[in-house]
Amino acid sequence: MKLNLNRREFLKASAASALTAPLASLADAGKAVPKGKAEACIFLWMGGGMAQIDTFDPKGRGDGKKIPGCYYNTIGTAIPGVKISEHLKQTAGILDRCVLLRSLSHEQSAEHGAATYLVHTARKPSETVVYPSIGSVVAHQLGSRTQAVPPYVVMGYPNIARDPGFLGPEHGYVYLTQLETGPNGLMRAPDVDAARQQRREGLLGTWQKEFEQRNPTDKAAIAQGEISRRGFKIAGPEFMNVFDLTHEPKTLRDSYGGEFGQRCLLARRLVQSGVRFVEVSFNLNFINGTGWDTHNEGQRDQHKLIQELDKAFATLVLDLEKHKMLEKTLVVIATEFGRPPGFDSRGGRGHQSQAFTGVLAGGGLRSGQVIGATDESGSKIAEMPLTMPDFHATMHCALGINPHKRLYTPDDRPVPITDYGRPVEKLFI
Amino acid sequence: MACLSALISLLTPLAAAAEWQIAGAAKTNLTDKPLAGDTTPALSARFTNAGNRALRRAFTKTTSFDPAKPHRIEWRWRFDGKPGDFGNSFNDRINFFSADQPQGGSNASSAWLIGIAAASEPDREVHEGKWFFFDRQDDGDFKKENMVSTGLSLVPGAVYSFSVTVDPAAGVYSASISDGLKSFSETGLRFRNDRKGSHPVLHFGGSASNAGDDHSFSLGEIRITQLAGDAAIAAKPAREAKLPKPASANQKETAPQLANGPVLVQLFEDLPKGAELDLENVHAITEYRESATAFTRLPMKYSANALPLDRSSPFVLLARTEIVRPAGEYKLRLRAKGAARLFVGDQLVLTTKPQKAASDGHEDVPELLKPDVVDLHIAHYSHQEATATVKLDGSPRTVTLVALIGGKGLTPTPGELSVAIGKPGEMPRLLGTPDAPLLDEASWEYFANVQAERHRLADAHRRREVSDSVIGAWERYHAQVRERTRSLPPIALPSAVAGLPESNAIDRFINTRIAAGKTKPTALTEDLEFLRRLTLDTIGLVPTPDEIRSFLAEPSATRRTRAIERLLAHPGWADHWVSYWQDVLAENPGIVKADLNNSGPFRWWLHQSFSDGLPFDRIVTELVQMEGSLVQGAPAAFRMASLNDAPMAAKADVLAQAFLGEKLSCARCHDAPDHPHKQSDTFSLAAMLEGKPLKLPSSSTVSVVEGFRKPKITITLKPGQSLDPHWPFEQHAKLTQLAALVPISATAPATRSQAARLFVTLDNGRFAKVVSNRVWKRYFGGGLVEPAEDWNNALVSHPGLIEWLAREFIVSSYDLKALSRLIFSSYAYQRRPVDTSWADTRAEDRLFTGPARRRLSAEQLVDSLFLIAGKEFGSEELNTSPAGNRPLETFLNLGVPRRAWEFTATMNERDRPSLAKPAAQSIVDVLTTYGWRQSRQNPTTTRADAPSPMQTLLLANGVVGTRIARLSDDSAFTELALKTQPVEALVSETFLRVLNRPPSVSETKSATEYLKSSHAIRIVADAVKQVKRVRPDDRIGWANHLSTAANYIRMEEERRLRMGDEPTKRLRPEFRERYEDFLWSLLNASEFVLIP
Repeated sequence: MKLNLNRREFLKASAASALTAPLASLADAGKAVPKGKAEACIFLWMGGGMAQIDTFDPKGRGDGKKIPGCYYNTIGTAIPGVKISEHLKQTAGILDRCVLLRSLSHEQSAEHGAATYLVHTARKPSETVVYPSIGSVVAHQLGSRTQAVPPYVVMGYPNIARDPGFLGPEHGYVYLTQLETGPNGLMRAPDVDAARQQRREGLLGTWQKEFEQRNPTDKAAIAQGEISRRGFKIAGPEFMNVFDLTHEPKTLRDSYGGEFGQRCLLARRLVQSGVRFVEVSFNLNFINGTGWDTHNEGQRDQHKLIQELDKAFATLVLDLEKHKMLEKTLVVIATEFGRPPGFDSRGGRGHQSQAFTGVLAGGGLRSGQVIGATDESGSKIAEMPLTMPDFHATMHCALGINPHKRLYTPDDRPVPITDYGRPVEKLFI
Repeated sequence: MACLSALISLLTPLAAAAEWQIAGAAKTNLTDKPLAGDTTPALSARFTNAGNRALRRAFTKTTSFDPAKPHRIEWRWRFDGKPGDFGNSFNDRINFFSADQPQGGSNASSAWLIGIAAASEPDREVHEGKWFFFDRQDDGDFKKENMVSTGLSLVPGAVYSFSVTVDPAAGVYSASISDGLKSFSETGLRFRNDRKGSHPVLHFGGSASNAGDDHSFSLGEIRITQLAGDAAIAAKPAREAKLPKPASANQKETAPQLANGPVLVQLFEDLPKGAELDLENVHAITEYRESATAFTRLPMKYSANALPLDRSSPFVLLARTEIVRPAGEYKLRLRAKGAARLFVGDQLVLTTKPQKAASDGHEDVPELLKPDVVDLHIAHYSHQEATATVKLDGSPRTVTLVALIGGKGLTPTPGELSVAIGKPGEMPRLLGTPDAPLLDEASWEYFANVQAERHRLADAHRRREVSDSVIGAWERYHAQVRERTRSLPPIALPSAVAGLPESNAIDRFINTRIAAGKTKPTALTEDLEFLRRLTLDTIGLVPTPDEIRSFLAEPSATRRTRAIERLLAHPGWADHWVSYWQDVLAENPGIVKADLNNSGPFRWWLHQSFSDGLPFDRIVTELVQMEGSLVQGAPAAFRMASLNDAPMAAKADVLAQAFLGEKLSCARCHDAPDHPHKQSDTFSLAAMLEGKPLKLPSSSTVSVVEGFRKPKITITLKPGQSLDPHWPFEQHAKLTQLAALVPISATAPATRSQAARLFVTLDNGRFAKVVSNRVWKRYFGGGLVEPAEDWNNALVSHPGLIEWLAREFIVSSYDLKALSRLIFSSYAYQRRPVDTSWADTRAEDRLFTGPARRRLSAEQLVDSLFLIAGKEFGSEELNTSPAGNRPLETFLNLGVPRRAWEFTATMNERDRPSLAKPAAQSIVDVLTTYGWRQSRQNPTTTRADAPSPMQTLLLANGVVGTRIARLSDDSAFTELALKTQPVEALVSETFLRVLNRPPSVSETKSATEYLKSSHAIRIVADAVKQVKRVRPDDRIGWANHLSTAANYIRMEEERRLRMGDEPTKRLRPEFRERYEDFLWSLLNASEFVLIP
């Protein structure tokens, strides 16, 4: 009796496509997109706007006052001829496992919230479609590698940019804001030990059984019971153990560094357990006063942030490599925008969205390359501009997801994963 | 009157471009196109300097023209720059003026002066963003008092016509401005420089805050005409200083709640800036009484149709009371956020300073103050406290408080404005009668709650009173509607079906199709199943044990009908409808610098409309007209769409889906591929809402990208094309005589009001049906028409029934309660649920053999959880500027939520612990996991709320689940457990509270067994109830979000929340934990989240 009355089904059945074809896409044109080998993604989020000029795209030395330029000295890297900031020492040594995308750009430079949304969704907000974040798209497309873990985990604050949008809450994330507390909903209250939990589930089972007996044909009741059993399995000891970093050797834990590093270590463990997409946020303003949003005095201690990133990122890449996971794990350093080469009146930097850098590592990509370039000043793109859809298309292709594939909103509106995103082909050859 | 043709040609840019001078740096060129209405090409200018900018040239005396004699100057002008570059700065200005010497920009030597300034700056208040005519009053300063506002704004692309008639000998001019749609003129304006005589140098320019600001403009032909000598313009008498209008009788607060009390309160608005308050000569806008001199909430200001309005900011509160105290020394204590003064008799005894507006985030977290008297309530840190010791002699004294509330860049709320009095070293009392509340923590909280509740009732009272004539107009309109409807042929009812019971006409339609479908309906619900479903459907909560008992105490024949009546009258009715319309109307306020397609907050207006029981067509009319306050919960907030290139196009789609079942979403950027809508339909309706022609933004189209296939959708509009206001749904409604009787507001743009009428008129064949179908769908889990928001090509499952329901809805004067009552009373609604998703079933199979099985909505779940545990949310205030030193427009204040619909996205895109709201977040986590949307960027009729493991986990292990099951001293279950009763009674009452039914025999047995052994020894005799609650730290906000301390405080709060509420010490842990386990198991049972 039940018939799904959606337009997609109707189309399949009637092939009446001329009138109803969606927006164009590469896939439509039959052009093949590269298909990468990565199976999971660790997305490191430098909230606030990481200054490319002080990190991965340095230029001549500036003085923190009138003379624009990099705030630090530069050093050579494992990619011959490529220089980065002196505070990325460990990363310099492993840069051959990485790809620098030095020509990212978009038009949303004023507001952090709007730019964060744009970099996570590759779209501007719309009043007709609420777009999903890249994490939700990956979760939706690939699911988790094993049943008993969630596909998408965020270490940071829940917000609209990370949300599943039209894909619906089931493609949302489990999040934690502090390693100490673990994710809300997965960690039992501290006064509930395993024995008490078992007693609780025993009682619950009694009511469930009686309820299901009273409503033997009630599919909703039975489905509800199933879901809750699946939930308890996720919160079981196996997955919870993943959050316990003391299982790792102390030397390794130490080499990851501070809070952000420990989050990166947890990210590796989560991916190992079957999670597909882990976003790790790094915007701790206790380190330098402002986090990556280095206006004014925030610039002064920015090197401490960069050093912490360096330690965590380089260790993560080598740790993945050691676990033979690097080829199958795409590591990304992303941020909402970069910062201009010039300084503000108190020695900090403003926002710059027309040219900034993203970093990719591992994921089976042809690494050791620098894609795109900025001009001499570091304020404009000189070579191979990459839009946000291009950036997303590259990450999706690395994960074997066709960036032109159409997703459908609940009212069956076709929405391609990216709008005309072109992956960086050179990374897949 | 001589026409100076020679001069005209000289001044025509084409002929004499070289004679123009440039002040500042600019490129000019002649465009090949004249401005509309001109015949000669226009001169276009683009300046590249910051500061003053001008094109100027002189028109000197010739044989036939004398600039010292009366003349008229006319020109056309268009803004071609970037709208965003004409920003929020006082330094973004445009001006036209004449002077006797060439000037860099306008200054005190200007004679006549017309212009526009984007924003005020401290001490220079202007008519922000409105074209002004300068009119010297007391001096030549550039300020509001010396300007006449034309009410017209700067519209890029619009061609403005200006005309200035100058009487040089009198130093007076007349001026007019028109943008083709609106015009404004004023005569008798005085020269800025107060100098009579010739001012032959014309200036066209302005100033820019940044060198790069694109304020390009085109200047058309300038006509200068000598006027006859007798064309003198009489200067008008100096305008009166803008004083508040005299209070009329109805401005006195007549709400009974505010009619009595020892403190007389008066509010004054629009006071002249900078002047000493001369309260003898101004009149209060509102006058009422309070029980004590403390103000946590003030009366809301309402428009004639009861929409919330903003008061002038600042406004002044004056409170006066007479005190009699035994002779002696007393300490007076004044607390205020901003400037206030306290007088005893005529003597000024206390003052506080004005509050400063702020904008960065680098402040420190202020120290917590220590009270100077034990237990004294400490005001929020944003307050100043001033104290003085006074001697009273036992005779009555008048005490007067004058306080300035709000101001530029400040939140216009009183905070904790208060005056207290007491003997030095003793707990003071609020100033009022000798038994006024003490200023200790508990009494203050109680006082504030009572005051809020009193004002809530008084506001409701006043809403009815101020809108008396509007209510009357709607009643007259509805009388006509009823008369017209009664004259229609009645809708034929199908005959009764043998064997299928019926309660009202609805059942005839339903039963007939069930019988025809050769299937059987489900059985009637049990009484308690019915009560749970009905209570959830009416007020969004589960029934309480007391409600269950009084329901069961009624005779069984009438208990269901009585329950329906009781619940329809419950205040929760409004709460439950607000969440629905928030989804459908995409209410999406943002509390941190809203920039993600955010609307303003119109939630409180929705709530007040349902609380006040307004006819639904009036609610929709007011929504469409979008008037009232932008930030305090009025329909004006619906107007807003941040970061959206065409807000009114978005609103056109929302309204058409909501009330006409016409989905314009697919016709937003192109013609709809599978709907009959063209993009021009969306933008014509949008232009109606805008009140004027609307241009298609280039971002509202689909571009063809090289290397990709050409899109197959059709695009018939070109970017930049202008669309006139036009109603695109003639098939549903035309502007008939009856439609023209729909009461509208006089102040909304004409075409917007016209759209409002067309949406709701009886002659709109869709409106009543679409709304009736939405109500049906809400209660049955599927509409008679699906999708409910998109009726194109949709089949109707019960065509007669939708007609019948719509007709009943109309004759009830569009009363949602009447419609709901019909549905709740039907036998069809009262049947047990079926396992069919009616929304996904095709029309011919949609038989409604029972309502679809539904699960609790996110809001029902959260509200019910906290109701049954008897706990408060404990949420932070949804606001990022607790000090109130930022404008509401940047940091909205959505208050402390009391029901789930009041939450909003916590908006921590910045990932800073200091910007988190941990308690609110813990509830938002549950809400979002169950399908509530923290960001409602688009309208939604059917939520995505499929079951997911995270839902289970948040109830089982999450902060909310842990809090609800925790037996703390604020838990209703703790009190229940302490009662002297057999363990079986405790089990039974707990089942009743959570699952709304008594337990079965075997359930009683299992639960009793689990609790029995520890129940007997549960009570700790000497333990006391902990009353003080841990509250979120209210010192943290945008102002100090970069401080390390702020981050650590919030992180600590997150950790504390994870521990759950503090367990009671009155119950022994052995029993407490067991009872918590039992509770936990019921809360996590499938039955709890299912609606019977």
